[in-house]
Amino acid sequence: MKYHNKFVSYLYILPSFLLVFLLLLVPMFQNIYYSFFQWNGIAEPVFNGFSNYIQLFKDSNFFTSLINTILWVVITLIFPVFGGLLIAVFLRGIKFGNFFKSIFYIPITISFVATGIIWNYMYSRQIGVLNTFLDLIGLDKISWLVNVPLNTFSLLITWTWQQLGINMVLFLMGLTSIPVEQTEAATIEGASKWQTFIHITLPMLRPITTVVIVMATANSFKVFDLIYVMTRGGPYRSSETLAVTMFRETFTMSNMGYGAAISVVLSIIVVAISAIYLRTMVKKDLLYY
Amino acid sequence: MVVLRKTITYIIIILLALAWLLPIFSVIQAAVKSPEQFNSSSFFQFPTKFALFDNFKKAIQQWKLQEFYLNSIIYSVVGGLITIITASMAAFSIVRLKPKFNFVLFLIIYSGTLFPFQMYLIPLYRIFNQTGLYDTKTGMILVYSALAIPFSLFVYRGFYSTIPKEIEDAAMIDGCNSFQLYTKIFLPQSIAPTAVVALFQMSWIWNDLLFGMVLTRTGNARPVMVSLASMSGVSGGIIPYIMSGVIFTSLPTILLFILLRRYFISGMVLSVAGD
Amino acid sequence: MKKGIFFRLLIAALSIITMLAAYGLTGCAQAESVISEAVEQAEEAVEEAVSTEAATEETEAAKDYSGTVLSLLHDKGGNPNYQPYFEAMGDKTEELFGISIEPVPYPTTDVFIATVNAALSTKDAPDMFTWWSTWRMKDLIDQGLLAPTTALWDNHKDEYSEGLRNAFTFDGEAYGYSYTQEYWPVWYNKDVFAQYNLEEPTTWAEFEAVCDTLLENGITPMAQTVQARWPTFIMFEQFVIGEDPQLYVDLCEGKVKYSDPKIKAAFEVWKGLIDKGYFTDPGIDYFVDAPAMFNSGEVGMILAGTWYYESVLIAAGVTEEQIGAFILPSQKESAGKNIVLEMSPICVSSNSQNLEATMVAVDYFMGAEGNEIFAKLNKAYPSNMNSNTDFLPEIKVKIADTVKNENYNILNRYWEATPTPICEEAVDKFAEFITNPEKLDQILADLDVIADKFWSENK
Repeated sequence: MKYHNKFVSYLYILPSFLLVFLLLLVPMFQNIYYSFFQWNGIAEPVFNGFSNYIQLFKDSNFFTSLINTILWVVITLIFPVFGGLLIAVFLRGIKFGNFFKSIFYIPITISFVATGIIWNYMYSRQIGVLNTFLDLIGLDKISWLVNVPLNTFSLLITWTWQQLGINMVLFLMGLTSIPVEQTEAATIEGASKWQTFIHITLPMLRPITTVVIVMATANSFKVFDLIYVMTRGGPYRSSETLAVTMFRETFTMSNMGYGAAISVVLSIIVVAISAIYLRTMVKKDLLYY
Repeated sequence: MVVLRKTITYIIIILLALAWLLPIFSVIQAAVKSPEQFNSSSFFQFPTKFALFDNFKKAIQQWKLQEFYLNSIIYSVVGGLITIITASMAAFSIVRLKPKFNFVLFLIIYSGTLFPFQMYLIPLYRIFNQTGLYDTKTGMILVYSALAIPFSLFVYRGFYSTIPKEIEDAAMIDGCNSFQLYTKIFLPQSIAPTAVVALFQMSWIWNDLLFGMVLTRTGNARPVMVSLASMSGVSGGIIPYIMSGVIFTSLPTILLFILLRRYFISGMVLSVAGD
Repeated sequence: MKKGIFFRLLIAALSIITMLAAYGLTGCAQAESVISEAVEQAEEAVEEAVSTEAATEETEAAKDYSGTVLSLLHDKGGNPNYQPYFEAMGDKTEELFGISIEPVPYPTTDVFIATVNAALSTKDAPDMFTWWSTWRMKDLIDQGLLAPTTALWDNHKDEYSEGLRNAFTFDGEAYGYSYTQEYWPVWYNKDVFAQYNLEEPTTWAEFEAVCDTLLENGITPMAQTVQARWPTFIMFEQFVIGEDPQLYVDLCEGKVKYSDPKIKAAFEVWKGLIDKGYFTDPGIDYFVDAPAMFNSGEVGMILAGTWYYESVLIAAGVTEEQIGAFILPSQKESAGKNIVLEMSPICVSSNSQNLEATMVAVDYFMGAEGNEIFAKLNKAYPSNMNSNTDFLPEIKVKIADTVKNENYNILNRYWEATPTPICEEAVDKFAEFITNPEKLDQILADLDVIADKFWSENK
């Protein structure tokens, strides 16, 4: 019955597996291992058990960073994700839809470094574009990246600018797969646009929504380059997220072990959230058999 | 009533679109002014002379962007190709040949998308130092491929599970072996997911800062984003030069997007639907 | 239609590559390439080591280093951009000894530090790298990662001041060399000063009077920022030194607590000036906004290192005629005349694969002629006392003369003078103070915790 031998079918997987195993999994386990050590990156690591993890829960900066991280996730769900959905619904079927789609999509093709540089210029207190506009209408200049907690929201505006397009495209894709008859039928039965949206469109978008939410959540947990280029987590660590705190401890403070512990905690959170999604994937897979 | 609603929708969309365009406009506005003019004129004054190419020449001279540009093109193309080949092969085997533990193997590889990149950084640096991969193009291509494979595998896996089993059975009756099945049946149908992978992963590789910064040192291996970040450096820099660099380094990914746009949507539909 | 062909071609190309890959697969291509690459590199390293050894034997006969390429890692590739200056230094050594230099800029200081730290103990150790003096050097010396340059300092014994040599000496051995040095004066806009008939202040009272006049005329007296993290210590060190220079030294060395009443007094002076509106909003940045405001006359004065003159002010379009400089008087008469000095070492790694050639190059750079190359291009002070200084702008000559003639007390910059782990946490605390001066007591208590933690772990 089988036209291939088992050995060959593993060979197809081998290159991917080897690359991922050698270059991602091995370093990851090493990283977990280092999280139990005190290590400055120069001298020999010294084993110190769980004290890096214990220290985490005593560190007030860790909590600021954790709260910021959660804020990032929540806002990401509101603006880039839900906003993306709204724009997708608006854009569906309007004239020049493709043209507008491209406008919202362009930022996603620009790197975090370039985005950070562009928005640093937008937000600059003295020569910044936004303050130039405020000045024009007679308002005071604002320190977008320095005032706490405004700075985190300024970063989130940039993040929305960059990320909204991808979510919008994914939702648009989901929308086109909904048969028009369904929504039309509902409208004939007297349902308002809003009701149709809630009762027909949203449920039918569920599969794509799961993908978008999981991807966006995971990305917002991991966001680093943007914050790093724009504020370095400052001033006084007020805009740090876990990924930035980890980088700071590892690179600026040379606490490699402590930094590793933060990255382990961050990974646990991300994996836990992805697990919700992975579970449905696992279930489906089991159904194949 | 309907007209009113339509008008409001249009107005909102147009305003948002303008807001989205403002940063891009600002970049171009700053990049075409000469540094002298940029320093002395306001945002609303239009440039008196077109200095984009002068700024750009200056940026290239000072930061040697072209050297790093070439490196990044190599990484995106070679890394992208390796990813496309290895991930599609693995997906083919996992979906169609179904060896034992295929799902476990998939999860192991897929787990690469879950963790924050910082998790790998320091150990990778040490491994690279020990094996001599540090500051080599080979090393960078390997790392970028490894980082791109997990998501690509997910895309191909989703896509391949939508290909009807009948095709495979028919091919089998014709006496195809698994390799022929892969190259003759699966690969030719993979245009859409390949476009997704190419667009996402090649632009990701192009845009990476972190690994390029830590795992390379010289022009021999450094990717372009590191030199772009170097232009603004520890602090500030000359804005028209920097902005011309921003435009120059963003062109490839924008072009890639324009080229692959059509295939991207259909690819995404099929990949997610198959899951 | 065209696109169809394009994609068919692409898929064809892919298939060919796939086939090749699949054939190679039986030999486990990926793993093999990793391994063979590693082996190749290892072999190269061995060869290199052997050849350096061979070279060492030959040196007695003929000192030929031609073809040697030395790496020079630095984090000064943005603004200021020293890359071309380092390249020029390399051009000179290549001409003289055949030793060329490849300077490698890093975009951020954090990554630069981490990379250097990690590389120093390996065979990929850079031959040379820019660094910071005192505590930041000591960390590396304690791990044996720096090659002593005592012999070279001896070669140039009479060309360097004793103070400078002491700053580069740890337990009797000297390390690295000083490629330049910078003082920290106040830069002021001459046009603005002339407009309101202001003179360079020589006492604290005069300084306050200048600030008041500027303020009355709608000009912000001084620039201050929390952007880019590190510049927050600029005012801090100034006011602690202005309180008592010995207090500053003791604080940096951990002999005085941050909650000490005299330190608190220094912060109170700072707070007073913030409350009076002497400083810009801390949301400006020191490298783009500040020079622009200086140029337009919105800000009267900026306290910054002498590197600021050429690479920031002039680069931002301020003319030489517009810029004046004076040294900020201490707020307490008893503190005397003080100025902050920033030292700029280039260090040599003990694991450099080209140690001997590096020493030849460093020996040259320490000499009068070699030390001049960088200084001349950057219009900065050479460290070698015999170097030519014709190229220095008048304003810098004046500053150096004032320091020398009026016997200014020279103090090490906070960034280097206190242990790195304290400094890195403290600059964030200073930022918190600048934005929330009313939280002073809490901030001082936090600083104590940070400092105590370090000093209890490192005796």
